[in-house]
Amino acid sequence: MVAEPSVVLIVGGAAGIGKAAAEDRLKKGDKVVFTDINEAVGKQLMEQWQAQGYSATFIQQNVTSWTDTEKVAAKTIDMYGRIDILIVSAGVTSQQRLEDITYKQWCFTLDVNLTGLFYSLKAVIPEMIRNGGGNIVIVGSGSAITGSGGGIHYATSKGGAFGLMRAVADQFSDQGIHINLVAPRVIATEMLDVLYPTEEAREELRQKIPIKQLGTLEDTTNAINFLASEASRYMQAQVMLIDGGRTYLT
Amino acid sequence: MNILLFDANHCIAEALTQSFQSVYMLEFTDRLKGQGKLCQYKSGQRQESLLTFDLLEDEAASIAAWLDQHDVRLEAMVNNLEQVTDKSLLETSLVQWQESLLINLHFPFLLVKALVPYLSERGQCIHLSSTMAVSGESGAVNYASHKSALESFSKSLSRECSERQIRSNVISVSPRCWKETNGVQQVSQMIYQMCYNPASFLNGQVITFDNGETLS
Repeated sequence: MVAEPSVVLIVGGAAGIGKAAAEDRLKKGDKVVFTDINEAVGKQLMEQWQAQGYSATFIQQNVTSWTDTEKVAAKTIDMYGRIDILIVSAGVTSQQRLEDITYKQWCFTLDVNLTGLFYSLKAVIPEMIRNGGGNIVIVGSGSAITGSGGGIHYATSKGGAFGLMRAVADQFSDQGIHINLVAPRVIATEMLDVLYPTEEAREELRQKIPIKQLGTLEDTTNAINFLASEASRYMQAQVMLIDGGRTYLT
Repeated sequence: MNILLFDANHCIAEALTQSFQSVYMLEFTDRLKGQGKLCQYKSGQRQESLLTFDLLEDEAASIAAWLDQHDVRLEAMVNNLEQVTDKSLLETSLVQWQESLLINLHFPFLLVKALVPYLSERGQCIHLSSTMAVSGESGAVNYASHKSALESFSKSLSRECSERQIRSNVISVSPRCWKETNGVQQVSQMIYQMCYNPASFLNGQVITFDNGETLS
């Protein structure tokens, strides 16, 4: 028996980890709705993926807007009648010290990384429950555990995701909501390029990682797929580090 | 010993005035607007109002200027700002979420950023958090999330400030502990110990007052 394709909603799916996850789910035959603030890039990706025969839909979304987030959930339900998997990957960062972070930057980072997640969960979970449940994977960060990388505003926003996930799990675990968080560190993405712009800086970083390699998008995608699958059924409200040993071994 | 308590209207405030000779406190007249007075409580004396502040207007610059002008250096800042909303995910309004962010995270950020330069060498930040950050509480989704964020904030702060030998730690208190007859006193004593017998190697940590509940 061939398994029915899953309906996957990826918030922040036109770049980095979200984009890699979207591409992977499309190749698996799933129906993917992906969102991003960048409309031009999102549309281009959708056309490219549709031309390859994949079931990809792009919806432009500002994750700090509740109206946008509600619309994304409603449109996905209109199209497919359900959301099986939610992957929340939208995020921003900048490498700054406390004294250099403006209040505006602080608020913006928390709005995108934390309020955006709150909105996604609030909009999608009722739909999942109506359909008997669903899998949620939050893309967090190991910096929330160690308090470094990407600045204090970034680590704070990602730390908030831990408590939010646990509160959601506390309420909805018995209603079919399976929620976990993947915490990548030092993955080669556009975001890492912002934090470590030169090859010299990246090499210095590599030397701090026990396995002496940067993580890849495939590493993160594998973890997301595991957490979004039946294979991780007994994992609930957990933080899964994908970090080459960086967090606890250095 | 100069300590600054971020919120005079918290149950820990009275206990601290009994333990410390002098405590600077922020007494909010309108918390959601970030407006209030900087006061000083001295043992056996009436509180003295030192200046009015508006955090959203000047991002704590007036408080910093006052400390500068009076050459005050702080040994500890105690961040006890908190906003608890007993609402689940679906019950929480967008306004409640934003208000919780403001009190639990935005104001501490503004105060810590502006006032860390006034911490003395080997000074410290002590943040009051809740075990809800770890256990997750469906009835208080804002609070669980924002206290969890605060714990990451403290860890980052400990990393950034350790070169000045300034430390940042969290005291995480269970809701039940606050309700115990001597719960407030226990937390107050912990703060007292951390200030008067500082452990220089205690940095970036979460000290939990929960009688073992959280992991059970």
